[in-house]
Amino acid sequence: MFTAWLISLGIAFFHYFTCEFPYRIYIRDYLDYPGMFILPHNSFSMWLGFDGASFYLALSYLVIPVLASFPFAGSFLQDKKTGYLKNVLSRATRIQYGVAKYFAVFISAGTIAVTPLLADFLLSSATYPYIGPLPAEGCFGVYETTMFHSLFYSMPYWYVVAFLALNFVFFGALATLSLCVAFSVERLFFVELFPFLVYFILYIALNVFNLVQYCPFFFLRPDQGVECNPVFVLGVTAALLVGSFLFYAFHMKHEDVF
Amino acid sequence: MKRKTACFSHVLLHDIRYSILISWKKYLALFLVTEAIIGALMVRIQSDCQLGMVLPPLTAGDVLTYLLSGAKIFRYGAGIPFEIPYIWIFIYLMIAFIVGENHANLMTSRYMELLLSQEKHRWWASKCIVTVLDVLLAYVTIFAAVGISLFWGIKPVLKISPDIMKALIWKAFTLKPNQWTVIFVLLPILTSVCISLLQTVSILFFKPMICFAGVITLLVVSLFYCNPAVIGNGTLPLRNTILPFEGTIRTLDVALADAVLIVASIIIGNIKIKKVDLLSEV
Amino acid sequence: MKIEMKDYCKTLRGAEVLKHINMTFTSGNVYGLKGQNGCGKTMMMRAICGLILPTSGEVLIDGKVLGKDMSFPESVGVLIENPAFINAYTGFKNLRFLADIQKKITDEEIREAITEVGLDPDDKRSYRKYSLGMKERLGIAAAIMGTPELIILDEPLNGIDESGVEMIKKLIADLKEKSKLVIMSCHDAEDLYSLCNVVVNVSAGKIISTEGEAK
Repeated sequence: MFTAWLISLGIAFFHYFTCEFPYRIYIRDYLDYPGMFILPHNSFSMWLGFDGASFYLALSYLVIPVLASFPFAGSFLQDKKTGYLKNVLSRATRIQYGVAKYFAVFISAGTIAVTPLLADFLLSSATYPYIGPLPAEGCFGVYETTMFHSLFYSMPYWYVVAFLALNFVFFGALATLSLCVAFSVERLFFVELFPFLVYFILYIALNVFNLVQYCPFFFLRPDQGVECNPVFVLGVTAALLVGSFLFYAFHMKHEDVF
Repeated sequence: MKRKTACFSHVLLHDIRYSILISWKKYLALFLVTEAIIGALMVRIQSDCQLGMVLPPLTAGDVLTYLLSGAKIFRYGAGIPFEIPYIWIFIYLMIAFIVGENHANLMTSRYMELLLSQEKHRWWASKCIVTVLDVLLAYVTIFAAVGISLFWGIKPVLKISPDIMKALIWKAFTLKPNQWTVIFVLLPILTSVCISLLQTVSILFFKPMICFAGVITLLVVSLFYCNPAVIGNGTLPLRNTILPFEGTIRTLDVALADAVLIVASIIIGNIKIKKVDLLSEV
Repeated sequence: MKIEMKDYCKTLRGAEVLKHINMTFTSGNVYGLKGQNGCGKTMMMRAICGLILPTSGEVLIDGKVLGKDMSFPESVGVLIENPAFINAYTGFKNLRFLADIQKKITDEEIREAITEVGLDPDDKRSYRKYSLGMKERLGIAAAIMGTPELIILDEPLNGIDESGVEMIKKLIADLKEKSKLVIMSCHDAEDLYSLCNVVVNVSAGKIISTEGEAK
């Protein structure tokens, strides 16, 4: 958990020190020349979540499913293989074990998923002033066809919170898919990487069929840049969460433990 | 000497069989997805023709170029969003996945194979060769997918059409066959072998998942930085100086960098495997 | 075959797991390692196989230094913890797959090894469907197939039924008759003393005493 969390924190720090920290000197220009036409850098425009021009955001959204699964996604399979599961089930009920395992995977994955965005936002807020985003800036990728656009221009902090929550829930639920597949697959590497495979296959398939607006790689990003229906996004996230939980709960209750 | 050579070939054959046993479904997935991408390409060309564009029939060369082209040079700060070419990332992550799964329990429960191999350097040499074969087999799978698509009306010639290139990759260009082979096939294979060997040797030090994340990072950083020292650029033929896309990647520079890293990975792996304790954790 | 451990010390993650081990093992004997859990029995076995390297000291096999002159003993069969077999393959196919690494072991020898441990070489069930005892027996079969000169068995009687235990005892006795070198560990003192002509008492990474005489 610590390694994965450290790596995700590293993404935030690298982004901050290469793409944000060097440009803080330009804030002084706006103080010295108040008549300047262009808007100054602010905590939103410099945030990782809106930095679609550097590779950090794209890298985050490719690496996060892997890092999120790293801590506990394979733990259920390992418990089965080592026989630890038998030790636990002789002392606790299946439901207790199952729920605890599910939440451990969900929460650890969600935490690692939001760490780059959250850490970077805190750093950029500590460095750059708060200036409410304006549509005229044109650098945010949030338009009237994207999700939560009115929230972004009226209450931008809540927009950030909304996306952090969305990422937390989605990646947490995605990581729990490894619990579901552990019932039928015994290769640890495959089980741990299964959430990433599902995410990546969706990315490829939706690109092939030119349906990128339905792709989690795009609709989970704060800068979006694609037409997204919030009902669809929230529905998919909820379906993933509920579906994986139900599947896992059903099999946990009825599966034989060898 | 003859007995030891015979033993090495057995070790190698064993590893090849194990690798194919574990990975054949992934090669099948690679094949099927490549076929789907080719199908989507044909649909796109057809719809472009219906919209009035005059395009010659697709050739195998066009299809392979489209699949293996990667991305042009990226210029940061020009207001252009950073995008990842999905076909390119799919091919190389699939290779990374195959290599990762083959070697995932290298340091744990496969100790019996190591003992039966008799010599650690022999075992490691076999692993390196299998990694190279994994990469080659992935490319063979892609070529096979293109080969199958010839039955859908694609012309079986390697010549690339400038008009098709303009429609697909935004600029018309042609290449001599030997130039095309070098920058679209040989150099990417060499770079892919380099990346895969780096992944294999890093599995001796770190968990396989972290190594896989490392490969993703390397590929994405290569897209951003057009520099032969960032080795993933060898898999991006459009950045080669031979092509008119303002690339700065010279074939020789990349080949040299790859060769150095390949040799370094093999040596580092050999040193590590001689010193490592095999404690067979699950 | 003669194996000598000379002042062998091993430190792992800051803990000294083996301390100044001095011991000689010779063919035609069955050596039993006895001690509490975590005393270093398995570590000693790993050291003899060459799976771990010493912090100081050495292991000599017929005068050659393990880890320098050779990576592993030339003729060895090992059962330490859970070996990896392929779930989709039958028991025979798994052993055939392993044996193909050296191409010295015939199908007949594999069938003989599987039969000696009480399994059926023609069993069509895949390894995935094996019980714990069957998996343990297959591990022993993998260690003894081709009758190697050195056989190392870490708690081979775990999870095996009474008839299986008798079978394996007979197997070990046969190996001793064939002048093989067997090193094993077992928690049942009665089994250990009945099978082994030398019992090595291990505690906290050190050899406390040896009982019995080697031939």
